[in-house]
Amino acid sequence: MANVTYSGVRESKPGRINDLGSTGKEVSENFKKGCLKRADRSFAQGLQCQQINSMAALMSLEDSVFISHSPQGCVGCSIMAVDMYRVGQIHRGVRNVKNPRLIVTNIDQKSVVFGGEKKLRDSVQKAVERYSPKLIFVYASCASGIIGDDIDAICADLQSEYPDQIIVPIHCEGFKSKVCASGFDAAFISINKYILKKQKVPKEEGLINLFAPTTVSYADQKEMERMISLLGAKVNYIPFYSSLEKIKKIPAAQASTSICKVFADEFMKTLEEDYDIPYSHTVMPIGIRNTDKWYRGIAKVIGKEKEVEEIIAREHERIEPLVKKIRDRLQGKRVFICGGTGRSFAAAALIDDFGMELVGLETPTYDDDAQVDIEYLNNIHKDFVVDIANMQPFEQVNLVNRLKPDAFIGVPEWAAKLGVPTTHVLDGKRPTMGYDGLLFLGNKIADQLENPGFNKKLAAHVKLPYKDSWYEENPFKYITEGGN
Amino acid sequence: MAKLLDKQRYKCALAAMQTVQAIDRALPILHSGPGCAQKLSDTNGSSGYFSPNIFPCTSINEKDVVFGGVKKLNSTIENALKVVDADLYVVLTGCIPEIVGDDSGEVVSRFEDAEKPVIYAPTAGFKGNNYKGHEQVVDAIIEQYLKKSDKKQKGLVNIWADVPYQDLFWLGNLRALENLVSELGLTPNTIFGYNRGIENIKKIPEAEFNLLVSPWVGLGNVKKMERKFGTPYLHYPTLPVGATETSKFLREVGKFAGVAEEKVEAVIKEHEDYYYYLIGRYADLFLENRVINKQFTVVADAQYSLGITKFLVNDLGLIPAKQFVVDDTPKNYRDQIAEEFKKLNYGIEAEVSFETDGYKIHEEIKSHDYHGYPLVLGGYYEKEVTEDLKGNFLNISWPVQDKIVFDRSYVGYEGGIRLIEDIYTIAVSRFN
Repeated sequence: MANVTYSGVRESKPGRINDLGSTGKEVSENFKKGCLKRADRSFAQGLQCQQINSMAALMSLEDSVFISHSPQGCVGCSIMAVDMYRVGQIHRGVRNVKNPRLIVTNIDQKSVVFGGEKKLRDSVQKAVERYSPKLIFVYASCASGIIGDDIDAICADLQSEYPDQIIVPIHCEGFKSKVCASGFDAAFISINKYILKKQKVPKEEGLINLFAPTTVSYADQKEMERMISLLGAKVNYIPFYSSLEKIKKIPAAQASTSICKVFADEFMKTLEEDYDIPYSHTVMPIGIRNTDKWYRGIAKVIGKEKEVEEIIAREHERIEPLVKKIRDRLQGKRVFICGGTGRSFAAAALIDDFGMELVGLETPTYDDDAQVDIEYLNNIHKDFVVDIANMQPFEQVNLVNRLKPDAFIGVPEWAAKLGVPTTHVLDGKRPTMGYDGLLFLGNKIADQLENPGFNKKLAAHVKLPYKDSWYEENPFKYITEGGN
Repeated sequence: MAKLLDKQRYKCALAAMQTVQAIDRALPILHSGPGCAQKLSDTNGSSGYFSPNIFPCTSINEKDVVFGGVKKLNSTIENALKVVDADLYVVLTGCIPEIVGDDSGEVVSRFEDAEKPVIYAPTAGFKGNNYKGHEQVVDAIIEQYLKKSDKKQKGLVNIWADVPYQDLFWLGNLRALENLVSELGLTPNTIFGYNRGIENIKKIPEAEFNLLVSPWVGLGNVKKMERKFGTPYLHYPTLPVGATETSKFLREVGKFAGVAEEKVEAVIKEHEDYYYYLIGRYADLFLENRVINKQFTVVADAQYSLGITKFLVNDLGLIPAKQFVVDDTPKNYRDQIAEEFKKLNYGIEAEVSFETDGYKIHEEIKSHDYHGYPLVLGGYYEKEVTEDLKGNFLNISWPVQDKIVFDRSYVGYEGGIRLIEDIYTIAVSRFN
């Protein structure tokens, strides 16, 4: 394939597909044969859009204003980001806890006809007057994209008017992608284009870019930093709770790695091309195997293969007796997993530490990365169901109802209403990752299995909103050919 | 419509999906971009029978933007009827279909003979906020689902109040209003919350009158019902919080409905006696008053700003600093609402500002002399500014982050007591 500039839309990568019902064995074989095709659904439930991810990725940056060039609903859920940001500050010992500064340009009927340029200009002007920030991020929306506002040109013009600010337009129009992780890529593309600008800076020996999405808790940040410091390196933790200065330091790093598989993975490739920074892209460090793999990955890039083996051996010695205690509680339990691309596969690897059996896996996309994980899982587990879906609870409950797992890991609401014990694996406030996170997560799953009372009671009294006939149907009935 | 929004206080019209969600067994079907349901959802009591991730959605993609999304809308409605078990299906349109010009109304009309009713409300985000979207949904029910009834049920009163989910206390408030109306010997009819739903919707045209308890939201709806069903309405602009306003409310509703005065006064007396018994027990706390100061500000939609201002002035003897109404109240209602803020005891008048720009509101709060620590009742955004001023903060309006509300209410005699409890619980738990 010719060297085309990556648009930030994850579906645009060859070999990546979105909607599919299959099994571990079947999907792996079809992928090898190149038979997987992009699909769609003739009936579906709401998704998460990429604009949310673009915003969430940067919301905790210091000295920033976030402008959503959109109608008034597009930041409707911003209170969740506000909460995350405030909790994150408190965990980090910040005394004067702040709200993120969020402005909505409020595209209205007039803007739809005449364009929203004036509203955007006005918002940037107000952002400068009110907060004199270092950074102004301008987020595109479905509406701004369709009415054809050229946010790049408007921002370039505003940039000359406000030389003390860096104005960064981000192309995260919701309708462009079904994979919300595209929003991360869109944010990083703009960071490179408008902040780093391919300028080389002096290298800092032993500095590692550690990319982390908002959903990583402070406990996890500290665990990752601890692990990397054991290798004698220093962490530049970005972009969560970081600053313009830390972003500008990105090109100075000796190496890069990321906590999440779909966060900054494309950006790290760009960093290698533009700034000669090697990177490690492995897995999310959840569970022993994945943590080892992740740890070895970054150690290799900085030439610490020998040291990492010693540390891993030491950590295993410390952790394994504790893991065994959890395994005694969880051995043989059948599990269904639903999560984002990074967490779902990481959780699937994690359950092997506890001797659990995978019966179903729901994850948003399938690509060569997923293939590596699926091949690994196929070696451990009997055949399991694979649902390539972004949420779609109607398919999930159909499957969970059929498979009757002992435990459910992931977005818990619907499986809980079927009475299955559930554990959420996406915890932005508590530990999940690394060697210590594993224990926290394992005990959480085991505790939940020991007292499934809440879910059982819920299932006995609360009905899921589907017709009885739906549970008899093929769960993948509404997946159709020919997606976007 | 409001200009830019800094610290936004509401959502777009498509958030009327929450109005639909509040009707038992009514399902919103979204013809919109992929993230709309998630963006417009709250985590405050929203995971019931239908929750935002359950809502069918066309999740419009690039192809649909170019070629139109009507085919997808058709298949989504058709299959929602097969898969999801609901009594009423309400199609809501977001920004994209209305910009690209999908004829969503035509698609919905294809389902006229479906087993269950399918109706449609245009709720593009760029056209209005969720207060307007709420009215659109109620209008859609009146226009597309209900028919005029020759049968009128004696004493039946439809009660309408503010917007479910946007108002954290919607469920409790409606129940409290129902209880008050019942005590007058009338039969309340509401359509939101547990065990109301489609059967109550069907009763709407049979009511003797509509009772609208809101400064402005829903006024268009009751006028429409007057035209279509011949149902008169009583517009009561103040949410009755505490004894003074609740007694006024009961007298006015009683008069409108022709309830005997003695009966109304008997109900009032019973409640006021108990109310002042409770107040009396804690009077020392209010009188010695070491924990809160006299001046307060409410930053909320018109209903809470007005209702709480009246309560704190008339019942608790506080003094209003500037009050803020943040719901983008349509201009034609503003003078009338501002007048209501002047009807306070002892000739006290509250200055009110219709302001949607949170930055300006915070600047005004910071520059006002509250003669001590301010008491601020508002959205979660006011927590930061109130903390900076070392004041007492209570989160009563959207966005809400620091409380959980099942079915509590600030309405009525009991609601006033609950609000006092909340304010003073915060005050006494601090060390100022």
